[in-house]
Amino acid sequence: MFKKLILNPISKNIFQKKEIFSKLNFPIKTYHNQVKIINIENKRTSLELFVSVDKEEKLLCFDPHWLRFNCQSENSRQIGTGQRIIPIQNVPKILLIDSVKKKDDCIVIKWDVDSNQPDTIIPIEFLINNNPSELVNDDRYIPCKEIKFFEYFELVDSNGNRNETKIFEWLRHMMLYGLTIVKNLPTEKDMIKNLAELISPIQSTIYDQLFDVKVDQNPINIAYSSVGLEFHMDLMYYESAPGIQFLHCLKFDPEIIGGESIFADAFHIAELFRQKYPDLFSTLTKIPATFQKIHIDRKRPVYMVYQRPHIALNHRGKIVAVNWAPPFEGPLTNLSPKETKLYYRAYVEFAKFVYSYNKTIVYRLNPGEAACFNNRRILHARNSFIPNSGIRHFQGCYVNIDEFKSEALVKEFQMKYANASKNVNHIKLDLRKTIVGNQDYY
Amino acid sequence: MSASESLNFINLTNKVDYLQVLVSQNQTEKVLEFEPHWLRFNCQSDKSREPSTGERTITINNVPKDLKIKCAMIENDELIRIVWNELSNQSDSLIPIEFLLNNSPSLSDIDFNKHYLTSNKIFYFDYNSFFTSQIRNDDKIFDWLKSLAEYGLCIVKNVPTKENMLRNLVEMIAPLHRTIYGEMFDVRIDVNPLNLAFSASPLEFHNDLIYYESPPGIQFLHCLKFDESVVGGETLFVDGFQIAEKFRQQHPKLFDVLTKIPASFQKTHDYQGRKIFIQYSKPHIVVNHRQKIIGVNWAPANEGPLRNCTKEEIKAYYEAYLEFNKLVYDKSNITAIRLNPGEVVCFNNRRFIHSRNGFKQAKGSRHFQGCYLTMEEFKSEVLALEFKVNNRNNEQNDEINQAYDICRLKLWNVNVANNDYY
Repeated sequence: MFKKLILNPISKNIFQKKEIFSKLNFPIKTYHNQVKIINIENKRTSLELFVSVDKEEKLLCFDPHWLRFNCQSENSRQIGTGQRIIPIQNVPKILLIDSVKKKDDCIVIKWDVDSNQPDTIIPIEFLINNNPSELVNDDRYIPCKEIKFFEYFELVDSNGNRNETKIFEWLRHMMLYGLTIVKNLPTEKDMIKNLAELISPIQSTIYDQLFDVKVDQNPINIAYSSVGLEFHMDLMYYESAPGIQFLHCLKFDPEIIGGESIFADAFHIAELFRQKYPDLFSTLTKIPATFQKIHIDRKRPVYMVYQRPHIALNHRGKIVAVNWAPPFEGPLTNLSPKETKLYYRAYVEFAKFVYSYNKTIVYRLNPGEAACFNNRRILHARNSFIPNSGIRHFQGCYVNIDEFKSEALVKEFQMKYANASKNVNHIKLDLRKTIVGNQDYY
Repeated sequence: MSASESLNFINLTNKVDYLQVLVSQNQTEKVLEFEPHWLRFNCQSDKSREPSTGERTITINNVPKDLKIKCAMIENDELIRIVWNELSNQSDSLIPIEFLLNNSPSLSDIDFNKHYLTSNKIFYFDYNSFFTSQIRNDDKIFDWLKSLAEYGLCIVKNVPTKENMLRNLVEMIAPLHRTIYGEMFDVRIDVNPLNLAFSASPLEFHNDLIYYESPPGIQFLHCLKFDESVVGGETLFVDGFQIAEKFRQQHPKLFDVLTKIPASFQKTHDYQGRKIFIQYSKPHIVVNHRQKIIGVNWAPANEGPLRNCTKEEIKAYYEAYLEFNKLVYDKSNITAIRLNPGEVVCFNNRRFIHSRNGFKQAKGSRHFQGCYLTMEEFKSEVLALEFKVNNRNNEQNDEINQAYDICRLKLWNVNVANNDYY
């Protein structure tokens, strides 16, 4: 239907005030995509852009308020900081487009006189890459079924020089799969900080900056003992639980029996659960669980309690977070008997799913190896172990999930657009749509 | 409520598929019902909870779908023992009566309380009162933190106007929360500002660092210098909870839209070699499963393009957005403060949106210092102090049980707008 309109641009139309440009068909300078504008149409209450992106034709439709608020001129975005400076109260409820024209690589919109709005200027590249109606449906992560190994000295050499290409490869794998192991990280104390800080400053928690996982006499956490640990995520009682967890194996004597690390992809498990038990899945997205840490016998006593559902969905019903940490659960509260019943039915079944998941990864870390995993996505567990007088000592730390994703996007941007002068907000980055489990609704 | 007070009578009836508990307390009677799985998972014995850390050690996989109570009895006047049917192969569950009563999920009235307070005036606290001959005065500090938790906004006066004194004040609570602006930041005119705040421009109402999954919980701004010759520069506050509630009453359909269609927040930041590019989408108003408001997200300066929305959603969004903004700027909702040197305004950065009037400094200057605490650390300290202050004179061993007893504290469920579903 749209194609016919284009071939006969001067055909009759039902809209009274409408400007149609004849076929333009000129290429726009962008980096990776071959973009051609075929037609720009002012529909007064919307703007239509008919484009060809990498030989695929698309009709893009823009709401007037969306256009107004995404003006990129210096009237609307402060140059140094990029912050928006439009006084919202001056924007009227009804906005009508008076005229549209192309100037350089931008669209310039004049609003109807009554609305009293300055011209809106938006780069066409911005429009194409930030088109709101492009519903994000494709796969946004890849189920993790095996471990990929990286070499520490390929990421940063012995003189401390970073290899940005290799680091990006590592970050990209961490984004898409959620789990890697970095080998040959020297088994000195605090070396793990060097690895983590390749991404961002460490996320400090009640376990301080760096924590030691070894057998303690009076452990402040069951991890600091030789018992087995169920699948869980760390610090689920924090609103933003740690993003990336690093566990650097400093020592793991051969006489020790057991103690393997086990990993499982919670995103994948949740998706499978949804397919098999849609009703139980729904319950777990609604009725909140309680996570808590109450520990008085500590340098600084901790009284933390937080309630959230086990599975979080966005407005499109996509899973945007999984919250699973049985050792840190507290009593469900503020629920009717019916809700409690429903909850446990779903809970017990989901736990079964976690246990019977057949793509778990079992690995015995070797000294010098650092497991790096997305603590919001990859459940981790540990087999119990018998020390036999041997020592098992890991050192760990965390990096904030938002800062991790930020670094991955910054690196992607630098890899792709190193020599081009580009505004990062105008272009599209592949990794933007990757789900990392931080409840981002995108 | 302390369950141990005036507990006259408790009677158990095993209904096999649930446990019925008749409680007579303070001359009122209540009937509570407990689902078998709830009882099973809240067993507090050493078999179920690691004694020193309180972490639960039940292997969920060993808990069957169907659980039936064989019998239930009271032991030693303080514990309830539940014996499960043989087929289920579960060890007995032991639960202190007090725990049952304090944590009962089957409240006959579901708790719809807002769990925060509002006030027309601002509360002031005196920094000097926090110490009595160099020793911390926990009672006074608790008064301050309790007010901050419940009301979300207060001022501490008489904090010496020396650089970094603010750290002394805030570290009494918890370690500072380091962000992309460092541990402490200076609010004054910068030549190339990283943020409009570091200029003389007026600022729109906003929460700081909104683009993080967990933006800073509590913000502190210490006025070091604010010469009388400086015109303007007042700090303004709007209670996000209150305007969101008003919005819900006045425009229920638009309110609903703002809880569903996510806004886009973003930050592009390049400072001292560190580049940041965060994009994050979340609704402006967050509600829990009971439609209670548990979060407010407002920061126009940090908005980016709406994404992943249909035409109808975008239209509905902007209609709601423009209308909500009217409430933000409605003068009757705004509290304006011109801070004096030595004063520290402390506020819940998640609940209160703040802004600043533009200012002119022909002579003289305006210089504040600021820092943040995470909501977890802040709330944890509030509860620790509540426990300390309320139990100092208690002869009895009225301790918080490591494993479970947070419900003994009154402030555990105060709503601090951090998306906690309680």
